[in-house]
Amino acid sequence: MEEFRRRQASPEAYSASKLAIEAEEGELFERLLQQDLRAFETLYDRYSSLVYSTALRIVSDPSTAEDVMQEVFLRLWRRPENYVPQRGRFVIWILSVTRNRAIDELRTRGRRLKRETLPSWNVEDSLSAVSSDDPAGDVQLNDERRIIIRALAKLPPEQRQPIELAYFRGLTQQEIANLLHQPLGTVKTRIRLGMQKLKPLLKDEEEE
Amino acid sequence: MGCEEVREALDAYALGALTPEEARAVEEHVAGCSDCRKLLDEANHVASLLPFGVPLWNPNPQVRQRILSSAEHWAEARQATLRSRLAKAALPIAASLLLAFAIGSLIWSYSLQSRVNDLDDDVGGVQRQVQFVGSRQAEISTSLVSMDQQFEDYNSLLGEQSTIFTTLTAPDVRTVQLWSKNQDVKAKGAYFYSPQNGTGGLTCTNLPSLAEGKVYHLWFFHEGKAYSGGSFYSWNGVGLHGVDLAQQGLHGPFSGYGVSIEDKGATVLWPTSELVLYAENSR
Repeated sequence: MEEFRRRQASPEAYSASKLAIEAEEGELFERLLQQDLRAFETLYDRYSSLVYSTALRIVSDPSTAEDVMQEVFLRLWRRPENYVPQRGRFVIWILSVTRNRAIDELRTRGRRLKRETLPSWNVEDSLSAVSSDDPAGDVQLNDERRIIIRALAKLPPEQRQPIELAYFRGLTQQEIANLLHQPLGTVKTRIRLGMQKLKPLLKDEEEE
Repeated sequence: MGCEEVREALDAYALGALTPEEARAVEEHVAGCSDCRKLLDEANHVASLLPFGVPLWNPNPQVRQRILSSAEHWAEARQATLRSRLAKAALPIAASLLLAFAIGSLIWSYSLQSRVNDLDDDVGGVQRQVQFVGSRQAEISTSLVSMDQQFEDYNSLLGEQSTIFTTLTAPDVRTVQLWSKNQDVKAKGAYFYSPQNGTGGLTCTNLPSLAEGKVYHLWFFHEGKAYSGGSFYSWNGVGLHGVDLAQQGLHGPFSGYGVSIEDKGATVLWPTSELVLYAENSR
């Protein structure tokens, strides 16, 4: 609710359409609690690409990513009460669940991946829009994605890479240092600098 | 771990890049430090946005169908399970309720039957009591009538004895002996009367016993006519009978006296049976 009010106070950053989508999402979730399959279908269409892409970024295998996505969505369907709206936005929650589930999968299935760096990241690939059957939802997600991608694009690769290896590979700072053949202190510093740099960038982007 | 050290580790913590020991130390610190907690929230927010930056891919459309189909089947299976559980839970409850109802009905029915039987008994008892009371009432009524009759008889006898006593003590008392005409009958009597008082009396012994509904009857005879002197009973063959001659208009003189046995309460003008005692006035 606090976030809702904050956004209402900054209409230049959060358009009326976004507020409408958030309100609609609250209604969708209420219907999901009532085991409304249509609501589940709408949420799937809106977030499946992002969930699948997140899982794919972590496990680097389409089939495994699909399995992870299937598990995440079916878990949502079976236990919708696991999401508590008061703790934050639904999309943030489901992406966090996806990340954790994919990391678990990575640890059990593909230890080998942990010894590999991530596929290279570039702005163009990330900005590629994916159409879905939910244009209104697309608008909101694409806006948010653009904010994040621009912020990430402003990071030097040596700072972005350890951050990505930590988040998308589930590696500790020591494991990252070993993988990149860098001193632990350097990794810690780059991670911290990169994250500190992202904070104002994301804030600036959100306020644009 | 101090605030400065924790703050250097907060971003790595938000990214999940700390060892379990390091992560635990951070958690313990932020649990009691609101400033560090706020910084951790910011770091977590930034980390949570990172998936928005991944290259976007569409999943296989068949996966969509598979997931939706699984969701639908799961919902159906869940409904079926819930129904089954409900049925399983409801069956013993229903059976228990049915059993309790049956037992309750049985007890109630037995209780009702028992009450009906009791009521029947009560009604029978009341009916018997009513009959008893009715019979007792009839008996009491009969007894009362009988007692009333006896009272009248005793009262009459008392009056007759008084008449007899008055007659016997009168200075002009006269006596007539009565005898049985039948040699086999040893009855005898004495009739005494007082012309001055206008009263008379009869005493008898060895009178023949009376049949049910019969009484003795005293007669006065004169010039071919009979005059009723009233009826009386006997006790062990002894009979006493007083007559208020003046009140009954029996002024005399009479030529004869007699005692017959008549029906009780009957109005007779002449003796209907043979006289058990008889006397002729010698005067």
